[in-house]
Amino acid sequence: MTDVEHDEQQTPLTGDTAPAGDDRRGFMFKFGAALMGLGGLVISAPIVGYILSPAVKDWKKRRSWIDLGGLDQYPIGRTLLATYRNPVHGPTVGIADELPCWVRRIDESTFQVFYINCAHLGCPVHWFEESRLFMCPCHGGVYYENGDRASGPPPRGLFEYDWQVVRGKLYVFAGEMPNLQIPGKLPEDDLTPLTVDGIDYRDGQPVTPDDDTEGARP
Amino acid sequence: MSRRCMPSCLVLALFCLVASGCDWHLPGKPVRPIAEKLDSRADFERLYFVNCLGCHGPDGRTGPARPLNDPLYLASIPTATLEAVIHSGHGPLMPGFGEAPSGGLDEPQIAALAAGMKHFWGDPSIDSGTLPPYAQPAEADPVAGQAVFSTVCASCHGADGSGLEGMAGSVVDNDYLLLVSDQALRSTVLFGRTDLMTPKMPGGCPGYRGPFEGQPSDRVLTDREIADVTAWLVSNRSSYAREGAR
Amino acid sequence: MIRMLKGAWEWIEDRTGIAEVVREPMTHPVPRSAKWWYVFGSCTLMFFMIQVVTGICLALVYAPSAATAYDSLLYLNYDVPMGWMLRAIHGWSSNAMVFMMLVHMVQVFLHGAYKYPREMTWIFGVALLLTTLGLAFTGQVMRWDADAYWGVGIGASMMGRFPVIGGWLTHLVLGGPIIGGDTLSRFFTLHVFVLPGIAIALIGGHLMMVLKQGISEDPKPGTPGAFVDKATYKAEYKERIRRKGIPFFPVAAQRDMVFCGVMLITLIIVAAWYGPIGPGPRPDPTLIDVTPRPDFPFLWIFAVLALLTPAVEDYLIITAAPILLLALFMVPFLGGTGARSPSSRPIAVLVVILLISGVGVLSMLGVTSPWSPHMQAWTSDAVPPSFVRSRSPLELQGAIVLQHSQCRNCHALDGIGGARGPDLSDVALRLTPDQLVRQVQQGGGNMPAFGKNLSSSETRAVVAFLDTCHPPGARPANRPGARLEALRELDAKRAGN
Repeated sequence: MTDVEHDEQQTPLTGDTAPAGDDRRGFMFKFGAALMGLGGLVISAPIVGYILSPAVKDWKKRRSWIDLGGLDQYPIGRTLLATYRNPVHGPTVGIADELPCWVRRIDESTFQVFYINCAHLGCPVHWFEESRLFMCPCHGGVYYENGDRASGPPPRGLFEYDWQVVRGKLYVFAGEMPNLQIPGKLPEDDLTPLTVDGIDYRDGQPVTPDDDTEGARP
Repeated sequence: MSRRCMPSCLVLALFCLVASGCDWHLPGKPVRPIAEKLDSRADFERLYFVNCLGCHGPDGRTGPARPLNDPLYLASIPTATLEAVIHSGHGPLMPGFGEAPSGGLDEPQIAALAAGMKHFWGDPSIDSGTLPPYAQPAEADPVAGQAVFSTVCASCHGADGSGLEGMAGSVVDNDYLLLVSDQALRSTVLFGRTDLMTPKMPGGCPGYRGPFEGQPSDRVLTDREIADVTAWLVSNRSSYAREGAR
Repeated sequence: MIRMLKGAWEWIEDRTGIAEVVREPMTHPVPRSAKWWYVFGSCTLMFFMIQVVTGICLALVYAPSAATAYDSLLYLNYDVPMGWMLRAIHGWSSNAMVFMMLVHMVQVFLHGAYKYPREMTWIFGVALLLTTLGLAFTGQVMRWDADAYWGVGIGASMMGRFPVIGGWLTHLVLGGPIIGGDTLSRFFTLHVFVLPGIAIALIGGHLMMVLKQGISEDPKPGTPGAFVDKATYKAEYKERIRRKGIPFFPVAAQRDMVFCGVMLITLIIVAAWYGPIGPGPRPDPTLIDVTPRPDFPFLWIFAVLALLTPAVEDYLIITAAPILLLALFMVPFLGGTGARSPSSRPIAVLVVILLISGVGVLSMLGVTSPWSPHMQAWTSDAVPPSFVRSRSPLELQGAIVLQHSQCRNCHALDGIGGARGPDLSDVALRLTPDQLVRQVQQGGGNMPAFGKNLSSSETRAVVAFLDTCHPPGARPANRPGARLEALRELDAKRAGN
């Protein structure tokens, strides 16, 4: 009975041979538990990663420049609805990836492009030309023409897109739904350059390779 | 024992058969919506209700803006003009419904509104050739217009147009004139506001065909007079506040 | 034939012993005093079972991808035989289940049935409350119409109120950067697999606890079971049940069967009469002329979010739910012994009254949502003829300005129009012309400033019109506070006539 303890080659796979083989059973139990634990850890890693991946991914980096059309579509002094296809979309999204935004043209080359989402909780805001107000149908938020909060529950003004005008077309940096923790406008460093016909643009100006490598702006 | 169970088994089998084949028409069953037929009265009324009622009044009358349910007016205004007004707006206060920043009316809907007004509210027996022109002619005399106004319109609006207490209000108030277009003034001279009836003015404000208070019942404004009165009203408008004006 | 069936049954019974397993809980003894107050739990369970069956049927046709969900629902409504009826039953039974569950919870709370030794039953029940509300919320997302689309956006934006982790939570809810295909799939998985599984497990636990600790007696003051003393309750209850208890089935269950039967038939009639709920407008984000609204169990939250001030909102969104849940879980531990009857527990009754009235009032406000501008009022709400007659041309232009500048979206005339601001029918009794000019130009209260967007002519015209807005014969305000005087004058004039 006792010699079995030392004899590891006599594997305990043949089942219940010695009724008093506690140590052998103890070893198998621990070994089995360890295997299950290791296997469990290994299998849960991809599962946890799968479930949590949308949360930890940096979606800012997946934003890109979207063409909203030529400047002649946007009369000066007016705010119009433009739509674009979201650059980040899966295969099952259907019409839900055709997103609207409000384009306000202030003068020849100055725009404000507002997200459709109210700054309170994300409902779509309506623009009224006559009173020059944005009104939200859900909880009654109201904004002025320049996006400032006028009345109601919103804690801030409307979210805005980063935009630039290149070669007579308006581009916005889109790809994420904004809220109080997810900004509409990104810091300068997070904006990738817009590439049109092989030339990179920042702020409407072409970027030469020297500027890029130095990382400094004139 | 089997005979006792037979009827209930039969009932059950029959129920399943009936239930599987039926598509009973109960009150809650949803019906596919019918596409709008823009030539029907219901669709015209719906378009009018949503877009025009706020200013032009229920059933096209007794709103603050010009009544559209006026056969003379509808006979006079060309259809193309009516559609252009709906599309692009008119004067300082009517917005263009074809040019809304988002959505708005498309061309078939605008055409349906214009045609609907003429069809359901118009009077086909009126020959527009017998009516004065809708648009103001180039030549008109404001001084002669003032003379006509002070005889024909004075009993309600006062000789100088500044209104009479208890009758009608001022038509020469500068802020009022800044808010209406020249065509709106001409249309009021032509067709009046017969929907604004009061005990003192049971016929409302008369158009060019009268009857005018204190005038013979057959007094009718000639084309010349209409143009002159309109020109006089327009001449009272000033972009700058007049000295002492309220 | 019958003999064959009987033989087959006896064979199954011999091999599985199933009859005994089922008979034991079905005939377990319950107090004689457990009468009509006790039927709500089984009715909730019945609604849940209806949900599972109709849900499975709907899942046979419903296509849960954002691109196809809406059209598959229209297909169910119009083309699948009785598809609309199944949708109707599923939708109405969901509302019925939430309502019945709340009634059951209130009854258990008021009768002190959560007290010793039934605390775990209550805790399982609170977890079921959470799960059911989760099923209701994910269920309305399944409809994938404009309400569902923007509703999911609201839920995700609420996550954005959490500091530091807000962005991550938002993306977890959305399954990506925007409301898209992954969002619907997440909610579908939750609604069809995760939450029903949890619900079934919790129901099992809840029922096991009910069987283990028994049904409480009706807590009439003075009766034996009305006072809970930890030292003696369990033994004494066991003894009372043994001596005077009745079997649950078929004696006590007959009341459950009657009530459930009535509720079932009512549900079918309601479903057949009112038909399926939605789907509303297509979930096209570019269709912005929509007024998103949640289903009935969440209307009170909708009202709370509209009425909170911005300063308080962040804190409340983050802390309200955990605090409420904690309070619910703690109920058996705050007063887990002692008197059970509601007549001996005034604080409990008061809390219930306050909660029900609070949630009820907020839900009613959620139905009318007075804070929302009526987006079409400026073109489709007429100026009442009494406000048009006897007005001067300038005043008529003022009425046009009132419509043109979307004032009617927030203000009513003669009760018709928006309810966000005050009704303007008698504004001339409250504000002098100068005050009207200031209010229109500078705004204030919850009103935006219109000064930049109204010319001086428009301002003068609209103030001229508003100055005519008072009851006929009443003198308009020429100084603040003149309203009461003007109304008294009017009354005196009328009495004198």
